[in-house]
Amino acid sequence: RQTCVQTGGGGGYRLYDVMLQAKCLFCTGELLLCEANTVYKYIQEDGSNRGTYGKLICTNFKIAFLDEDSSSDDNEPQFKNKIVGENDITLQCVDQIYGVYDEKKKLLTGQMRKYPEKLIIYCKDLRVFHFCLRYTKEEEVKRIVSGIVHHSQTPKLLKRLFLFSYASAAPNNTDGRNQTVMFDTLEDWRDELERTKGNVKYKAVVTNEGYRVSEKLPLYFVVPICVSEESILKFQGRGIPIWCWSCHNGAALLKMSAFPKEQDDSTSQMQKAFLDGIYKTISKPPYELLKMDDLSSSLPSLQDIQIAYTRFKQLFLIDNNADFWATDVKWFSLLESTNWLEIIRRFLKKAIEVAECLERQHTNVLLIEESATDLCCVISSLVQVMMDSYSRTKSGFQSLIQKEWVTGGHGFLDRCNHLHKNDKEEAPVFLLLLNCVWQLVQQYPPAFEFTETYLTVLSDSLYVPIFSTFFFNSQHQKDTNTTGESLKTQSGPFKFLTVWDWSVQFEPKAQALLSNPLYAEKPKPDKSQRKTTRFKHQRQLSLPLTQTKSSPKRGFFREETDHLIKNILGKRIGKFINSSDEPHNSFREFYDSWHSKPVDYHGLLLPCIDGPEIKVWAQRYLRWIPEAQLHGGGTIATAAKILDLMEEVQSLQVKMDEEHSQAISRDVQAVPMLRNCARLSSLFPFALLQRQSVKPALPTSTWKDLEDEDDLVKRDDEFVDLSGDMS
Amino acid sequence: MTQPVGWRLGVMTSLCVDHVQQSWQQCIVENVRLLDRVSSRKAALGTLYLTATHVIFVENASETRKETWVLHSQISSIEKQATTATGCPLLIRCKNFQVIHLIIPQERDCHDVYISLIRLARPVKYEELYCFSFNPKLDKEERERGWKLVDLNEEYNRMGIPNNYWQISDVNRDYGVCDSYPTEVYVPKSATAHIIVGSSKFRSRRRFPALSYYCKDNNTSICRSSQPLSGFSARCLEDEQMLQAIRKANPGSDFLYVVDTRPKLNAMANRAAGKGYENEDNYSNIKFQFIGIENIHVMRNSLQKMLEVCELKSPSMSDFLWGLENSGWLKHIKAIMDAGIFIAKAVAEEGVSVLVHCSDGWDRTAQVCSVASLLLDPYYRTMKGFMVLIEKDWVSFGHKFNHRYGNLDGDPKEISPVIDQFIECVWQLMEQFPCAFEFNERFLIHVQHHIYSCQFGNFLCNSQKERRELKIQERTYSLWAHLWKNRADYLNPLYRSDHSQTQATLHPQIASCNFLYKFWSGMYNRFEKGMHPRQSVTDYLMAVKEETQQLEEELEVLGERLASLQKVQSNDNKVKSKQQDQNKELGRSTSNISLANTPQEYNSNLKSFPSRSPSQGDEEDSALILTQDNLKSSDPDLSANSDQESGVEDLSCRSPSNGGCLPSEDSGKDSDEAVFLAV
Repeated sequence: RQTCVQTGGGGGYRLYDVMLQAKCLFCTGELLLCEANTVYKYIQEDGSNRGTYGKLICTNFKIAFLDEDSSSDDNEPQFKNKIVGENDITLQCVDQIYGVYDEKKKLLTGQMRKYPEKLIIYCKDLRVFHFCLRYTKEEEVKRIVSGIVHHSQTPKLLKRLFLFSYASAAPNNTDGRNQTVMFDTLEDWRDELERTKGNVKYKAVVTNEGYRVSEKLPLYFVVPICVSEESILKFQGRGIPIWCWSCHNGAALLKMSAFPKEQDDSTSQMQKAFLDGIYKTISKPPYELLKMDDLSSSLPSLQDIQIAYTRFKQLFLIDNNADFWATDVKWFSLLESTNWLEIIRRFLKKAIEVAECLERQHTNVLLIEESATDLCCVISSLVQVMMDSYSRTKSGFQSLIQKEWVTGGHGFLDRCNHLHKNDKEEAPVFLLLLNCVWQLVQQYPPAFEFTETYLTVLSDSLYVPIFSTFFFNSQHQKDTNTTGESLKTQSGPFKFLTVWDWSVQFEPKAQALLSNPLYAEKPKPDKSQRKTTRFKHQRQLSLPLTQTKSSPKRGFFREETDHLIKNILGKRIGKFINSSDEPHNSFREFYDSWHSKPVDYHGLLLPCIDGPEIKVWAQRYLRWIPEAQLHGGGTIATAAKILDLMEEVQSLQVKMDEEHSQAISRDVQAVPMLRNCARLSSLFPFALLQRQSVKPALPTSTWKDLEDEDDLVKRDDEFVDLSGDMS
Repeated sequence: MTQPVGWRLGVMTSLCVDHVQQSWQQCIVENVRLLDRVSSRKAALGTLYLTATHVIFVENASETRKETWVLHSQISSIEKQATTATGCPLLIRCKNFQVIHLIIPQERDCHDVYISLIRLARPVKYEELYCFSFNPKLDKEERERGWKLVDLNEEYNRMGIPNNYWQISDVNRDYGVCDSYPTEVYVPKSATAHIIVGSSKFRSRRRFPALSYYCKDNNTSICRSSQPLSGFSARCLEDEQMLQAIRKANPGSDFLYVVDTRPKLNAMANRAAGKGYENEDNYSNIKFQFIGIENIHVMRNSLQKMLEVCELKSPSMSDFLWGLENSGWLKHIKAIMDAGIFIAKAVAEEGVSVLVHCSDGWDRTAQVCSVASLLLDPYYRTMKGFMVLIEKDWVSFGHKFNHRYGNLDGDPKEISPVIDQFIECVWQLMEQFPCAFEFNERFLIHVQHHIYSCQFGNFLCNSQKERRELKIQERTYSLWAHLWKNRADYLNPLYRSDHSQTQATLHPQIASCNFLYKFWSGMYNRFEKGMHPRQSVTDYLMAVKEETQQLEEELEVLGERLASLQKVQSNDNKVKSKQQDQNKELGRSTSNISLANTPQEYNSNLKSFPSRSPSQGDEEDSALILTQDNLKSSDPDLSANSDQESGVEDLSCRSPSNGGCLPSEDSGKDSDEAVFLAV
């Protein structure tokens, strides 16, 4: 380890060399750790051995291959990440490294006696790199291979993350204020309560200031008004229902971290009594009925998710095209055997069930999980994406991720295994969410302000250690490490970048691909409100409430639990019971009745979850596989066409506006309205429709004169109609 | 919302209502229930009408009176299930993949309906088919013009034929050589009548090699035929000369590909029956290639298996993926595509002519030739071109429509989804190259529907000869004219004729991989639970395109007005007193433009936008216009629309029985107690 770091120390000068040579831009704070020359990178492992020579380097940020012929500047890709280049692999993005010895692959994890002639790097963003080291000096091979393996595969201290070097070397980061709500202030939570009208029954609390309650909980969070400070403090926040979101009808989505299995009888008695008390308080009016859902028993476990994803991604991490064709033959059954799509389906289904309780049964739903930071986050986020159209805007989605995941305390560091501390903790929970959201995006493109490309780059950003967003386990961990001992070298606390500042990674032109041109913006919530109130009532009647009558056969287990619940908690508390038929019926009815109607892109959105509708996120998973490539085809062709069309319409509009203003500047002083045109058109395609009808009042006499013109005569009716409207 | 179950049928309604009225009242059954197969919602109560041509179900619900129309010729099977307490279930499966599940209260009625339908769905004479009674109220000239829309001679001229190497042959003028071929056949100039006739005697059903597609850029051709009667050793000099003539018609190449689209095993089995495949030793300079596309029986079973998967109620991922793979359907589609790609590459990249055959040369050969043509020539990716392609490779070359699609009662073993597979290949290509086709998915679905509907005469019979004998063109109408009239509905908004991609050969992956092939739910599941519109993006784009066009027009109008105003102005320049008025005028003209862009205008314009389902756009909700079909801002039933206020209201009026929906609290009577307990 020492040697490498030392090389790094002396590398400042050489780094400059390299930069000149390869026109490679390094990040601030980046240090060269080791390098190897005349490395041969295969373009694709197709047996043809085509490739390029270059220099393979490893820095404290990334592994990079610097192409020797730097003429590649000509065909600059349109969509380029400014931080991570085509041949860059951030250390956190490395999934597995294999060495090839005499045509045999061996996983490289730590010490090695013999150095391989070929290095295969599998990345978490599913790229596969093949480097041939046969022509490299033995010394360099040793250094680069052990360097890469060491820096990317062995346990690491948090402070060794590039995040910190970057933040200390680039002190004057712009804080990238955008519309994303970070949920790190009391204000943010209060605003959110207000936005969802949850403030009648829920309050934001400051109990956890100084992390008095728990280091796992955020500084500020929201609980039912009736929950006292003492009870929050009693079990470090466990057993306390924490508010996630309120539905328009007042029903709320809550989450709670459960007590761990306790050996000690008296403790568990105490906990039980405490829980009963809590349930009693929050199930009294004004609170709605309460339904609890223990996610750890009703959903696949973290381990299941990890296993399924590991198998699934293997389908796409392909060494050579022979492998590819071998898997291709049995594509569907292989896909099935990974179980990944089924897991996505299960989560979507659970989210629909929860939405049904909130929406149709006006029931509060309490999600329970041991930590309330994994499966809870997936379900609560999905429910909000489905039910709250704000979460389908870019800033709304980002705020949601801040709320439920980043501030909410999802252990990104552990789940992504960024530090290689404990492989058992690894589980792609956040990726699962993105996969589920992607299903919704591809089923209802006009409902989302962002595109699948957005989701893909967001998933890639999980492994870019210059943003703090995905590199802490909790707000507490971030806070202590921001200010902590680092003061000796720093003038102030670290200023981290947030991933939501997309300009750090992408030029504006590339950023355009993250926004969905077909997004149907929300109409102003004006007149129709009254109407819906009235209809709402009708709807209640139209849905037969008796549909969910119990089936005559009731299992023993069911009866017992019911009895138990009745006795202990009273009838106002229900529980999802996993016996298949009954919840299924009410769920199915809800699902079917929703699907039998046309979609409102700003209302409730339920994904189709029948087999044929759950698909593979081709953009993310197939993007590096040349065999799956279609020249001039694929969904991107559609996207490009749409952008073209948009540009065309926009340019026509500009032209129109120009002709306008010319006409006016010639004779009359510009009418103020015209100046607005340019601004309004940016809202295209709805700009025209939202244009205010500001217009000069016209004496009817001038009218007559104009009617002589042919084209005006044709449009006669329109003018008459509208002028009527205006006056 | 009066919305027929299949909106395509809705289109038909207006066309055929006259006829239906004449023969109304054949059979009426009341109090029939139509089950929604997937959804758990209540069955719709209504009346069932059986007419000479349709089964019609009209719902009783007074506001909707939803109608479901099914043509008899669409019915593929009728199944009467065991009577239950509620009535007698009748299951009607259609060739367009609709499944209608009826419950008829009286067993006797059900039996009558069943028996009548069995008869009606299996006509024995062509004259019984719908097209002979269908009258879209066109006069004779219009009908004739309709039939002339697609002209194959014109098409061969477009390909550059006749030329120095190819000519039209009249050898088959009275169907004397081959009765399943058209009268006009294009062959190499050097192939004399003697060679043709000789070769035809050596080919199964006398289907000798004839031109299907010609690429004038490099003189390569795709020819088609049936298998040779080679057995184990037979030879035919004329047939060898025929192939040589084809090869020589492409002077740039010194060999000819002979593609047998069958699996090798099948071809070898045919040898025992005196048929088989070309021996490379006997023919000079040919390269022989097998491409394993399975026979019609395998395909029929495969589709059956896939449809079983489609019929699963809420299939899990596992059911679906396993079912799909086990059906092998997509593998068969891929095999056809691979064959097409192979031929397209041979023609475009190697410059080598290809002779394609299978057994009789009317199923797999038609599929493969048309896929290859579609890849090679952008013309076939236009709407008109696609009609020509089907007319050329399928209709004229004697694809047995009647047998394959069971128009008349016949051998069920002859039925197979051959053209369905081709249509699906086109759809798969459209998915892969969304900008390359002028038409959209709807167009394909309509073509598929009408291949089975027998509403138009195009796809009747098994050959041109039979169609001429029946005087189809004088007695029925052409589908192509009907589709062409409504072409605005079938346009792909992503298509641009001037785009480079649309001008060239499509290059799918040489060996396209399986995960590029998708399950086509738009076809096989299109009647499910009103599966929400899968074309929403495309519909959306249509609207955007419309808008672009409007802006263009607007611009033009504006330009004209500006010009005329300038003229007026220069005339009036000296008259100072009028200056004031002039200014006002201009000011007004400015406001006109803003007027033209107000929501109302867009709204009214979009109303005319061809949409199938009734518009539900709220006049006031201007921002929703583009999505009028899919949106339901004004729909009272969508709960998510409701605002806070309504939520409060619900809260206050909640009754205990409401809480009773909770699965675990279903014993409604306790819930009152429970509330009190908790309080």
